[in-house]
Amino acid sequence: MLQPSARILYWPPGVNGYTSAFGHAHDWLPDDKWSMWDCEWVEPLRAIGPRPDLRPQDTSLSQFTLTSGWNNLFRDVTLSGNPAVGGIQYYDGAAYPAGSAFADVTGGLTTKDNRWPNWVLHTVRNSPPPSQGIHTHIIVEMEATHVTLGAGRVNVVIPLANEQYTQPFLHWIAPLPGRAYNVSTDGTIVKQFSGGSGAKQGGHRESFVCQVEQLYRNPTTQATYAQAAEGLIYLGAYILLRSGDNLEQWTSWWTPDLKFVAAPIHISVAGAVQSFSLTPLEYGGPQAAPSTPRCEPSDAFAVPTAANGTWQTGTEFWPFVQSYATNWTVTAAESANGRKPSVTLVRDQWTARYVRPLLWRASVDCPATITTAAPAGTWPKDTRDGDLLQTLNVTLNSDYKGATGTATIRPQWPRPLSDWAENGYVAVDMGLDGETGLWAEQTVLTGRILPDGLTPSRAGADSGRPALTVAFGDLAAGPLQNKVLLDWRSVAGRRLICTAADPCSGWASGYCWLHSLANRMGLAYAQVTYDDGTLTTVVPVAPLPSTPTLLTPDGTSFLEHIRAVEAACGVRVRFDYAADGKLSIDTGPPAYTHGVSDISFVLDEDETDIEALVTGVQVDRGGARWRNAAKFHITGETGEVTYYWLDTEASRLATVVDDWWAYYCDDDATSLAQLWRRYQQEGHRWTAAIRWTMPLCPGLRPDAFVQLNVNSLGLAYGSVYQITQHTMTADVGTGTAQSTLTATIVYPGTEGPYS
Amino acid sequence: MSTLVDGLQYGAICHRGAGEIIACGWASDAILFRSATTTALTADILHSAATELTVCAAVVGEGDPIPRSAIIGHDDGSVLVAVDDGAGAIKVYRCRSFADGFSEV
Repeated sequence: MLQPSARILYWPPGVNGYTSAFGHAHDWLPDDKWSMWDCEWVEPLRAIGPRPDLRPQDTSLSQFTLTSGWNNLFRDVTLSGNPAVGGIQYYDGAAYPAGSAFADVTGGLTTKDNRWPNWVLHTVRNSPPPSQGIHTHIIVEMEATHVTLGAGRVNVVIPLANEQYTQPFLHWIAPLPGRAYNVSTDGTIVKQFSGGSGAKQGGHRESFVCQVEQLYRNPTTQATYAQAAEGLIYLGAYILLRSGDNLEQWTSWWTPDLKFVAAPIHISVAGAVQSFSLTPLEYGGPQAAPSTPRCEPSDAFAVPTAANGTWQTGTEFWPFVQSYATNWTVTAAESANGRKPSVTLVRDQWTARYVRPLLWRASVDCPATITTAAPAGTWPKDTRDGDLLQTLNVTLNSDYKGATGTATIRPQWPRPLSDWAENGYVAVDMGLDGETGLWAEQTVLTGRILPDGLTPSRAGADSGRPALTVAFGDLAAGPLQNKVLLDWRSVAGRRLICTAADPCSGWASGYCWLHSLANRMGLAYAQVTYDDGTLTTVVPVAPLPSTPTLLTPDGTSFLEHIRAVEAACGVRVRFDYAADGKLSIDTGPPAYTHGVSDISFVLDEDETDIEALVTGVQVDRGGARWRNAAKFHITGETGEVTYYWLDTEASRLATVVDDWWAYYCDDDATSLAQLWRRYQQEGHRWTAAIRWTMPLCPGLRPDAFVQLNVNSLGLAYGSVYQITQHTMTADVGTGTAQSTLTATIVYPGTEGPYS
Repeated sequence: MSTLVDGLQYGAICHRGAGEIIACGWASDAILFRSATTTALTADILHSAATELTVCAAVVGEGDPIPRSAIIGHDDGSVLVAVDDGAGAIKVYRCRSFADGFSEV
């Protein structure tokens, strides 16, 4: 005779921790209101970096190689100003007929040294002579490598008195044609300056600033780098152009395809007498007296105050997101001008002056203080201690969020279990009396009593005996429904979970995401379990790190935030995975490998053991989930990316003979691949599911694999399923001890039932 | 001390733009042109290794007056030199490229 065996252990709220001093955090995103010392606000990137020295430096022909065979009428001059510096004058102001050979009418120079594509060009330009038939211009050409087309050039073309191009423009060409090329007809014009002098007629001075900010990403740490290094992924480059007439007016162009390194810079001049100096931009001040670039936001963030609460400030982190540049040190600390970050970006070596770090975001983060309550009395209370646990139901799911249960208890007369309270801890044990293994009594859920989970009652039909109905669940089903996130900072770039050997309470930049989240939930550090040490995921950072990801404004529910992180990172946050009440994380239900994965239970139509007898099994063919076509959409750095996918026509004709579309859109996903995986898991699986009942079997937890040795259901004999839900029922009065489980097919394949 | 106009007579100087000082004057039976951009106002190299260009020949006979010349930089970058030809007329010469030198307008 199968008899249920069950009990509930109870502890008062807070014995595993509660928040005695609240945590808080705040993000500051750079803007033009920040105070800056030797820094500049880079509007197109919404970032701040050390400002360059835009003053001209000596430029002379000795720094260049003349382009062989060209009209190299250059001479060294001195350009007036403060400082007066050496410059180069192209002194051919002759008028040439249209169609003149390019090399005959154009002077060409190439720097002898390699230079980063960051420069300022100071020009003194005369108007072209009357009847000039060729284009008047100065072109600065930067060598670049196109990821698929090979060696190329990115050119800043500065025309003058031009009927066609009234403003300077940006042009690129790849591969190089192996001959002199015409920027009007060869390559691609990608951007016109929002300022500039292409339409000017008279002589004038004008300066142009070009800065190329390249972004590399460490795929493991999600850290952003300004320079290439081993193991980094190239995201792309922002080419930033400004006119000296208005340095706050930026023209920017993003290219994920063109890469830059330090290389010779080429200059060509034609059409008029024009002088120039080309100066590499240097960041961080002169060698003899380096500057200390520093910035801080305009607004401070005060520690919250309330009459009956305390906010923690003892442990305080000032994290920030930067683009790492070699031999630069970026640090942040609390400003002397208020509770806000002050970030310094200091060049450590003179050789590092050509590439700068950028600040994308700065934050303050104060973890909450978690204290363990010690209520008077002896804990836990056990329902076996004289009380009657009459009925007990527990439902677990493979999401491991939202496990719930109810129990009806007949307290020992006259004690009414009045010391049980909402949010109290419960550990629920269930099993078959006297059985072992999967059926043995074991803890199936450790959670909390739900906020509205205690219902005392008395009924005449039951001789007026007091009864207590208790509803309980995991954190997701319980207290998290009554809490929201407040003063939470961006989690982009934070590691999801630290290793047990590397407790993040000792980190300098703040807690890992899961510990931080647990901290805000009021869980003690020990209430978070690190799974197997292999999960090294970092919350993705947007390609442009100043673009917020996973926005979590005040009032966002914990579960909403968790769902967003799960979707962005391809992980599963689990409450009470091991029935120990702890928070954990993994990459989702384990994948099935035939012949390797353990089969926890076999549904066998020839079974004779009473505890393994399946009393009923039914099939859910899964058509409601089925989608055979999908449109995907993400907003990446290059703009909106859209992708369509359909089953083959033959496949559609073999199934529903229809197109059932799904739409997947997630701006926080790092790639279409993640949306694709979601589609494969959720929509593109005509997954047969089975649902069966059997004697109470608490050892079968969600994620476990079971094998179906049953014929006549239209499913393969020996096919394998993964448990997605398990409802356990025990009733002492009737002797009921039953499990109802659902599972989805994992072997063979996941194709449709018509195949 | 500036050497820009050393040896030149009856000439002139002016500003061509961006700190470039140009000068002309008579020397050795010719009207000569020079340019300086340095603060010391020493003649710059104009083309190849030449630091001066001949605007025009101006042979002065025994007792003849030395011709006067004046200079100005044009907005299009050319240089204009006006020369008294000694016969009651003034001729204007222009240089658009130091490689090509001056020609009469």
